[in-house]
Amino acid sequence: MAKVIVITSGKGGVGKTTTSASFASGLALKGFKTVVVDFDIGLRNLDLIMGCERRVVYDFVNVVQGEATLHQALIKDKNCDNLYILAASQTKDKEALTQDGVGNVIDELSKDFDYIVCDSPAGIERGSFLALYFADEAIVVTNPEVSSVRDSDRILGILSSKSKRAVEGKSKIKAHLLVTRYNPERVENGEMLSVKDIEDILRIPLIGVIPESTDVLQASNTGVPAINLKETIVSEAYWDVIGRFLGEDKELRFVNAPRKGFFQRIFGGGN
Amino acid sequence: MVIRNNVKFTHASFEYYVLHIGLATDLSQVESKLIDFIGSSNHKENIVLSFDDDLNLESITKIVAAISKITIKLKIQLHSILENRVIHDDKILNFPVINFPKSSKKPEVLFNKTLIINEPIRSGMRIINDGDIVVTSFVSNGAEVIATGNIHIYGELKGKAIAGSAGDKSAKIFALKFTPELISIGGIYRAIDTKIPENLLNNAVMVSLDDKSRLSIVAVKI
Ligand SMILES: Nc1ncnc2c1ncn2[C@@H]1O[C@H](COP(=O)(O)OP(=O)(O)OP(=O)(O)O)[C@@H](O)[C@H]1O
Ligand SMILES: [Mg+2]
Repeated sequence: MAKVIVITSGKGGVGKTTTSASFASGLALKGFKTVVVDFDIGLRNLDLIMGCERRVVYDFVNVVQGEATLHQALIKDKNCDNLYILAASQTKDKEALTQDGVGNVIDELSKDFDYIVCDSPAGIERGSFLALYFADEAIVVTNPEVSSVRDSDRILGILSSKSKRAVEGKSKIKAHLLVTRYNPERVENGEMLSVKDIEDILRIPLIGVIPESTDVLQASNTGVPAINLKETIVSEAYWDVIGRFLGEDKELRFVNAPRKGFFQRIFGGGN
Repeated sequence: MVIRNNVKFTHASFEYYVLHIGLATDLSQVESKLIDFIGSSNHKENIVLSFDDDLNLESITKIVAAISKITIKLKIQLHSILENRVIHDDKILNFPVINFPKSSKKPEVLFNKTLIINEPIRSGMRIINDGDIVVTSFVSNGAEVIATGNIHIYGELKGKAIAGSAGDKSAKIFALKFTPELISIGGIYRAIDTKIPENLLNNAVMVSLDDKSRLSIVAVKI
């Protein structure tokens, strides 16, 4: 049986798709058979970030509507044998997904995969509801600003009251907090919330902090998940997330602004 | 002897005592129970009886007769009988049958069926109960807790708390940490957009209406 993990946030543009791509790649590179499913019907950008947009023939909606088999629609990642992508449809409307249809696809995928990563659209409407409904665990992606934290709180409420596990009275969805686009300097200047502020409000366990970095843009432009950008702190931070998810004890990194003395120590030479 | 849910419930300045009687209730102990129950209360006319659904009308009538004898002896008075699935008449032995809480024709009676919630109330969630609400966690900004009775928050209250929502001005709000967006008791509202006074910020707090129907917030020593 696969474990279903939703990457969700409520607020748009916080880094869900970036995280879905990196998280799924990381799990696959660790040897787990992983599929990442794009629930953002009508927008479709997971396949761009995964660099497979030209290979999308059939998509999630085609499968739900019985126009293609799952086998036909799954796209194998170009770099990693364990990783598959189920793309969203760019043309169909958002109502194309039904709860039963999605449930059938999840059941089918469960037979073959270890992890099913669901990239949720923004908002709290149907699309994001369907993305989280079948989840066993959730990664709640949050930016260090009040509106994003508020939306994450809202999503946590929906996870604990409207998801399949909640409705059926099963054990609760395990929710992890992932803070992304974190800029320690701006936090220290008081322009943004700190990790501690966010943890105090949401009170769910922290699985990682991804710093703000221009490397992410470069990654998505080249169709490579950010976790695969060697020797960048974004990649390191995503690897820490994978480690913690798999139960390793990893100290939190990249949350403090570099001290002045830091550069002096490196470049200051003999003084 | 099983007398369960013997609760005190309040309407405006009255206090009612609900004596619940089930199949297993031993009537010979009702007298001492009533004495305990009333204690030193001034409202000796406010006993309300409630019955389990599995008692039939015939036995309910017998029990009412027996208890009314006891109350006469104790110089207290039965106020009324609560409606249930078995009791449909307007009266039983001249005691009015009251239905709560749906009717507003009769005096608004609030029965403390407490709703206990053991998880955070998050933004966008709204918890409503006819009776008290106890939250053993926190209430986020943008969340609402609405009770016809009292509200107890064993965590931080950051959202909205509306107690006595059906008009009970004696309802109260308790919170271990108090930074709400809005509080209301018995229809009197206050949005809190200013800073909470220092002495309340890090203390447990009780909110109630004073005798002029103004919201009063006091620190509670814990
Ligand atoms: N750690 C980061 N540092 C800098 N930019 C980032 C970071 N993470 C994401 N971004 C940028 O933020 C934008 C939104 O990212 P992404 O598409 O992953 O968000 P999303 O939550 O999936 O958005 P949507 O709600 O529209 O689906 C993109 O331009 C992306 O490059
Ligand atoms: Mg996205």
